[in-house]
Amino acid sequence: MDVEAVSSDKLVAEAFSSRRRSNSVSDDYSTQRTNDDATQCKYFAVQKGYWKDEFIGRFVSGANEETSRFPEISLGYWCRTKIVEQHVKQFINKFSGKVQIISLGSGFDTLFWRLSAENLKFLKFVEVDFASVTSRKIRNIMKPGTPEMTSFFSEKPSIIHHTDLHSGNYHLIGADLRQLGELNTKLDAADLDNSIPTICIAECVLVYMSGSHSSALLEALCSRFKKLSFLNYEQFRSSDEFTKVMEANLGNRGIQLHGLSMCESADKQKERFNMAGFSSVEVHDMNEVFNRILDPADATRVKKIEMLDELELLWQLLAHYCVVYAENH
Amino acid sequence: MLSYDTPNFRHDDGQKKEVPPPWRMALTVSEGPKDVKMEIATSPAPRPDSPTIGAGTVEISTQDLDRHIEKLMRCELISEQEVKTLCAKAREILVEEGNVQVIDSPVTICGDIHGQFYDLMELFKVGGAVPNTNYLFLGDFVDRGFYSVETFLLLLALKARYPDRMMLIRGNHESRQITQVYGFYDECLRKYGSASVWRNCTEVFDYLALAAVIDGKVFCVHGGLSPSITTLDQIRVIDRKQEVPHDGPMCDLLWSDPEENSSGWGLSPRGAGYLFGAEAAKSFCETNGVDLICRAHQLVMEGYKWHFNETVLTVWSAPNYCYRCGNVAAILELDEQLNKEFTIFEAAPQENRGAPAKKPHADYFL
Repeated sequence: MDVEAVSSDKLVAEAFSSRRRSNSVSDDYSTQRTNDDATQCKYFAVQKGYWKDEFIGRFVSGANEETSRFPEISLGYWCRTKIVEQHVKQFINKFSGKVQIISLGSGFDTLFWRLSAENLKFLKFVEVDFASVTSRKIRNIMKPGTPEMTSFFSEKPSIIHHTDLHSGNYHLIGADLRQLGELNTKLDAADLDNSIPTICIAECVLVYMSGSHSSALLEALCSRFKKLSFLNYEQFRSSDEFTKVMEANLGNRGIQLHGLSMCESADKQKERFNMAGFSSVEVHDMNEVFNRILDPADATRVKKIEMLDELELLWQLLAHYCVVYAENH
Repeated sequence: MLSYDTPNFRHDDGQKKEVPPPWRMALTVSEGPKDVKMEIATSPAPRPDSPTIGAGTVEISTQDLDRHIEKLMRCELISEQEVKTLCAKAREILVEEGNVQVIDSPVTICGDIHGQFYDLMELFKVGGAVPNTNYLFLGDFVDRGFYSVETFLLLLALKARYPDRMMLIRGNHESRQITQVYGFYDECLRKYGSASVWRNCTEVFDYLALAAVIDGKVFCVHGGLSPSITTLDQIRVIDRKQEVPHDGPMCDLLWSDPEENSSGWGLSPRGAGYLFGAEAAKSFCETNGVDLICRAHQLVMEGYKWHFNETVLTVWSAPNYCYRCGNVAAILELDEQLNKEFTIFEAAPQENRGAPAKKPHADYFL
């Protein structure tokens, strides 16, 4: 077995802390913790039967985490998971699998495994996140268990510096999305073809960066990949009271939403994607996604899983998140 | 009539004889209309060394209750044994109440609280302390907020201490099933290490009245109307001492909502109860001689909301609901002439919220 993969907790902890020290922005650690929260929420929803994901359990560790979540949270995660999956599947089918998928700020997301388990073919799946997150993800991937995560790779995984994993069709790389030089070098290592249709996914990622950082990232990706589609999921209608409360609540947890101004409206999103070089941009709020875009039969099914006591809570949450679908070709 | 046993006791509202407890606001105790209905004759005199509330099988001294109230007002827990006794006492009091509680004005009507303890403190601040103000709470005391246990026990202790000044009716969250999804069950386990407090509290839920009528004119209920209920008497004969059923009249009262664009009845998107329209509300009012249907159950961002040409009113008393929604809250004060005065209030400021040991947080998609 790869020596890197069996590194002790102590070594990893040291890697974390040195990484943390080296970060220029003090709230990065809290941002990285948002992955744990998202993973817990998804795990809970999957256990409740909102959608199937036999892999998410491989990434859940927190024994003392409070695991139960309110139904509107599970419904919201269902909505987000399904719309991303649906878009990516459509993209794969459109180009008969001759595509590359890049998941930015992927956290412990399992899309690669879910698609693979359905025998969907694609050329490459690349995940990028903070090195502290990717190193933990690598540990979980390499841990023997059921299902065997490495069995979906086309090549034997090679791991570099605890933080990067390369295995043919799957690459997991530790990089700060604000450091474009580092990001480009790491993407090079994933052996991507810049002329092949490529889809980037960013779920609640850009909003943690300042507008100038996210715009620079979008521009860099747009100019690198000639046929790029971008699927962005994040906050929406960010100038109202709900968002003020959200900012205060997340602020108490050390989470800063530096890019909220970009989330104000559909126009604002369109403007930022257009400026970065995307010619077509569509924006849908998550109520639209829930009620009109996703499979109505499945929507009816998930609404019945737990009795939602107050629908207003769901509509309000969903109204404050959106998907942006942009293309540069 | 009620099909379950009623113990042969009458409670003694002897509050005028007592020294106000230290937490009570320094105001003179008003002689509310409730005092007239005291049934002192049938109740044995309280022992001088340990005055008791009521004289049923459960004995609990006013000092004990005042101590509980004082503690709970600081958002501190009382012991499991104390909860048990308090719940037993509360059941004894509640079992005497009809399904449709008859209430006299003046009274202040409050909507959902949902375990938002510090916001309940704001409510008492703007509405006045118990027993100086008579309160009617329209249910949904527990779930979603971080302090359902303290909130419910405080309301219950106040009920036990001032039975005729504190009216509690049942909401759809006062249910075994719902509290296992929305937090109260988990909170009891977390705070007491066992489900026994939850079990005691949910037993009390079964005893809560289903509705109230103020001066014969204002019908109060948590959710709304039911297509299988035309008259108040039909509510009075429901066997309420049970878990909230999944359908039927009792369920509807706790789950239904008014629907602006309909006249009669519609299916509720909540999966329980019905949507009732203007016509249904009007006909209920006419049949029962009431002017207003006052209910809670639905988040309204402005704290209260009129429906159907002011025949139905929603009152919502959980500001910044779920610590996330950004709404204000309201209570409705009815004076002796049933004149209405709304008071709007906001969530308790952060500095008034104490420092929870394990910092809970509102959920978002991250």
